[in-house]
Amino acid sequence: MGGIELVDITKYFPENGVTADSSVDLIIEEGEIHAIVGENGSGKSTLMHILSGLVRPDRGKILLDNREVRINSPHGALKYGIGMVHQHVQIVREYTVLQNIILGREPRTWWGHIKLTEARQQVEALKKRYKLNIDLDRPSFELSIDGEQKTGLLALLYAGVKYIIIDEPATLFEESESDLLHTVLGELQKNGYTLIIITHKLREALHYADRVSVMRGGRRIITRPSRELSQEELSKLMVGPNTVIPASFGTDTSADTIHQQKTPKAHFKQAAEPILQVKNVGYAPHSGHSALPKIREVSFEVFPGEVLAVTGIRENGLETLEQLMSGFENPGTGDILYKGKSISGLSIRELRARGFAYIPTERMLRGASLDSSVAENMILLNYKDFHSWGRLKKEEIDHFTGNLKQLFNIKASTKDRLAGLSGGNIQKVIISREIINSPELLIFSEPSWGLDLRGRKFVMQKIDDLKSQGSAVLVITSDIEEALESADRIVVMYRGKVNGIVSADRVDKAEIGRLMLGVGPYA
Amino acid sequence: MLHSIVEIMTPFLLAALGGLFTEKAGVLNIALEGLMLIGAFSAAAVAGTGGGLLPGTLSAVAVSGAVAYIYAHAALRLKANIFIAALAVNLLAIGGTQIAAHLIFGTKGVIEFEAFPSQPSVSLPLLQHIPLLGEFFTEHSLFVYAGFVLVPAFAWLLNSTPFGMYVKAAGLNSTALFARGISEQRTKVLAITISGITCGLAGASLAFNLGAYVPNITSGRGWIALVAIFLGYKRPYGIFIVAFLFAAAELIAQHAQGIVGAPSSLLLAFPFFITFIGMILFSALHSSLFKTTKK
Amino acid sequence: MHDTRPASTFFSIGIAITAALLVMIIALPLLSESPVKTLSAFLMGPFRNLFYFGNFLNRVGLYMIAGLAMVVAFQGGMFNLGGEGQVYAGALGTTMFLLSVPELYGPLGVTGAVIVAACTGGLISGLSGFLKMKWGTDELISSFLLSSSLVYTINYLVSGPLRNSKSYLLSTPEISYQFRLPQLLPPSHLNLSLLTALLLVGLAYKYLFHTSGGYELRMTGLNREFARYGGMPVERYYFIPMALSGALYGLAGGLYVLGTSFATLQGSTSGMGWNGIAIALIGRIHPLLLLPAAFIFTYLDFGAENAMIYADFTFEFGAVLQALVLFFVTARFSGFMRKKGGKNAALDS
Repeated sequence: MGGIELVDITKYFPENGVTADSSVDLIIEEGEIHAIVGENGSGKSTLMHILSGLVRPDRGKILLDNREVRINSPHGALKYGIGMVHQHVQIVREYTVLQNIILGREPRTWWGHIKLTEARQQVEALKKRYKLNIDLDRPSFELSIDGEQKTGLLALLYAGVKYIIIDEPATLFEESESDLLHTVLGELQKNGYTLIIITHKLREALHYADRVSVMRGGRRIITRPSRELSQEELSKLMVGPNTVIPASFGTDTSADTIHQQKTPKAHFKQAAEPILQVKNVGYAPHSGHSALPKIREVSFEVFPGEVLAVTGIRENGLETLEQLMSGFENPGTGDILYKGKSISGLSIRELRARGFAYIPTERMLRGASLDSSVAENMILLNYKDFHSWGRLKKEEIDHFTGNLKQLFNIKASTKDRLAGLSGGNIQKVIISREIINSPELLIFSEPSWGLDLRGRKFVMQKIDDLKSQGSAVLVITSDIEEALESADRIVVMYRGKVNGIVSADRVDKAEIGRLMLGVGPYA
Repeated sequence: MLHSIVEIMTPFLLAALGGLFTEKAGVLNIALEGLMLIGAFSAAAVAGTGGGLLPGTLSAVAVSGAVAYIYAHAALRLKANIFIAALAVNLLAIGGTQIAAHLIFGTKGVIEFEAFPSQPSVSLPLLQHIPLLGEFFTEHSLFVYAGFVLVPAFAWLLNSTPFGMYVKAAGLNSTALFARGISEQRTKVLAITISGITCGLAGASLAFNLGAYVPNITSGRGWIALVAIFLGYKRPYGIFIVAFLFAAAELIAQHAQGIVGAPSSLLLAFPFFITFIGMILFSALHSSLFKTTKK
Repeated sequence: MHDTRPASTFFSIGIAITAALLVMIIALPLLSESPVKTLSAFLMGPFRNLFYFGNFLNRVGLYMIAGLAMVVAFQGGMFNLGGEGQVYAGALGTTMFLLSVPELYGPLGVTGAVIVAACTGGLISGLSGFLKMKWGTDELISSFLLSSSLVYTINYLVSGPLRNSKSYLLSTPEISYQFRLPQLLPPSHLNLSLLTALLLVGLAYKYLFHTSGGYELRMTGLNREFARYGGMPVERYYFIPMALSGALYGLAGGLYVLGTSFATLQGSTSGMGWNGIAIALIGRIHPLLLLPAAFIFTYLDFGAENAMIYADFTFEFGAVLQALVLFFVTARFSGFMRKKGGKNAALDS
């Protein structure tokens, strides 16, 4: 009578103002393979982070074999036999694969020497039994994502767990290996392990899981045996009903939905020259760099006066595109041209000077100086205007910051330390600063991440305003509704490639869901 | 000549080996100088007042190790800035040893003991007859041999024991330790304590070599040890080579004094200067080999 | 980094000072034959008479400049550990300059000396900054090494080739009376350097908080990625904070010669580098807070030195005091420096 039961799990992140999980109940039966599917932001990852001890829930309890347990850390979870293989496994890159696998549990002689041979034998045995093929003596920085995950999995097996959670078993491109994954999972199940798989790959979920749970908006929607479900149904359940009425059907600006009046496509003049050109761009992770998902043959263009959204599951290429588009990494193949010039050749300063703006997903790391005041953060892009020959133009700064505060509804005193603000307000400071300068091209990643309903609505409006002024906006988002609402055209990514470029007023959520989940003829 | 070089390099070597641990754990340990000074004083105080070689050395090791442990623990617990805490240790060492010298021995200058035990000069039986390298094993203090032993010992500790793996992981990716339930803080405190122990040894070697205690007996060796760690590519054997080269440089400088008549104060500058140059060369080489693609 | 919560600032400084005072009060009876006299010398030291008071204020001024040197470095995210050498070099440079120029016009010579002092210190420290920019050489270690070399070298020069043959002291010849700063409160050493210090603090404040260059420097020091993201020229802010810091240190050395020692005596400027660090930390790395910080620190330093006359213990006690102050101030002061990883990144293998 084993198994895990999660009861009433709730988690709210004040830094972002996001409720990741909302009173979630979930039962995992002992010995099953259970798949949890959902879009980005559905709460599936947070739920499993709570189970594996990385995050503590605000409310709820965890029952193991019908007894309540407290899991306070990954180490604590391991003691209960629960381990998680993350997408980005925490390993020491400079160590070999074997060293990483046994880290923390090295077999040793009484005088402290690590019994490497014994460890190797044990790990080789595990490799053989579960068909996990990996070179133990390779330095870990050479591993790509699936290598990292194999290492993480072997480490858990070596440590001795009962329940294994795998976050997005990554075999993004190795079609031949996806059958291998099925074999591995099967072997594990045969040997008594209980597996929980987090995934967005519907075909795989139905293929190898016994039961599937769907999460959306922080709630568990449904749990069914996999044979009772189809990809089509799953896709619909994941994505949810249409809440956005396409612009061509008229407008509705009521406050309780995030509808907005979008400048109709017909009204914007498609400029002759695209301001941004992505030409056959590809990227593959190479040694020494963090393993970003691969992308291949990505091409699209953005014109002044339009909003183009790139959407899909984040791991399917959005992360990678963001790094490339912002100029922080260079593509492996192909090129990205801004106003006709390759951005690899331009420094960030030069890009900005030419009207290029960028709001990253990781706003806190790059976009903010947490120890500085709100005002100091706000003036980052035009600080030179406010300093003149040793005189700080206080009035102008106050005027500028007051303007920003009012326009963006930022609740703070400009003298406060930025770190003291609420997460939402910090976001607004970062966002407002980029938008206010009317850039010619704005790359905006996950626009409404960290904002509440009103904030989202406001940001959408601002994006639309920019468009009417003739700027180009590239929105990178994993939120389909956001894409439909804000964009004129939508690029849908699936497995690192462009799976479709559609006009926003001619598709609905379900269609985009299909495109980005690979359902139907594209699968 | 080889003989003198070996004697000169020992304090550097001992201090640097301990510092290597803290460096690998991700902590820039600038307290090596202070810890060495404390060790030298403790050794001199105990040995000069009746204790022998062993009690003197043990007390040096114990006191320096204890100071290191306390400062590491306090700094990491109170979330104090570990560098500044190390600076504080250095200052405390200077002031503290002076005060202790004054209190116990009534002087703030050179302390000469009447009955300071001399240390045995040992030659290793077979090894001393090896043609070129025999000098390494002939007529040296025990501290020298301690240094020789510690090089492979620490290499082993660092590479083949769980503790060594944890220390390196603490410096490379401490989150990996967290995921496996190993305490990063404890690992760092232990690493710093080890550096205290070896610095105590280094200080004791200085005191016994001199047969007295002199203020500023360490005169910058702790800092040179720090640089030796970097120049030695953060490996025990690398440190051995750098310490050797460095001692050679100092010997040359001393000879130069005899030949050219360069005064001693200028000689004191020479080690610092040469390591400064070495550092520049190292980073120039390093950066051209590892060009980053960052914008 | 600028802790805009005054309560914690004064609290931690208060703890530090109290701890230091407690140590003094406890240790003094042990170390002195006449503890009461020693204690009163310690506490009342600066205020006994105008001579002491003038010297006290003089020292406050010089220490303030040293503290400012570190404030500028820290604000730019750099750690200048070469203060000792930079001050000493500034002093020697000034002395040699003034001994070499014709004694025509006092103020001109003084101006020249001041420039020489600042340039000497600035170039030395700037070198470390430059190396960091070019090859990622850790400035903490490089500045320290260079500084230590210089200290010993100058010791040699001052007691050897440049020594004043007519004196028993290990010192250079004295500079001519034309170039000496007028005494404001004779017979104490108090001179214009105090006012200069105040002026510099004001200028530094203006630069850091009221100019775009200062904004760039501060933002780069706080979060280099942020500054780069905003398009700032971050490269130059390895060099600039170091150079400015060294210039200030050198200036302190030069002013010391111009107003107090009138020559370069061996070891005379010793300690100013380290004290600069302590004062900057006490002042929470903010230029305006340097005023109270320098006062408090100098008070303790001065008191310890005075008490020593009666207690016959060395000035090293001041070092213990400093250590305590440093430690307690830092105990609440986590995270002001960039991460350790950044510090070692240059020489990581």
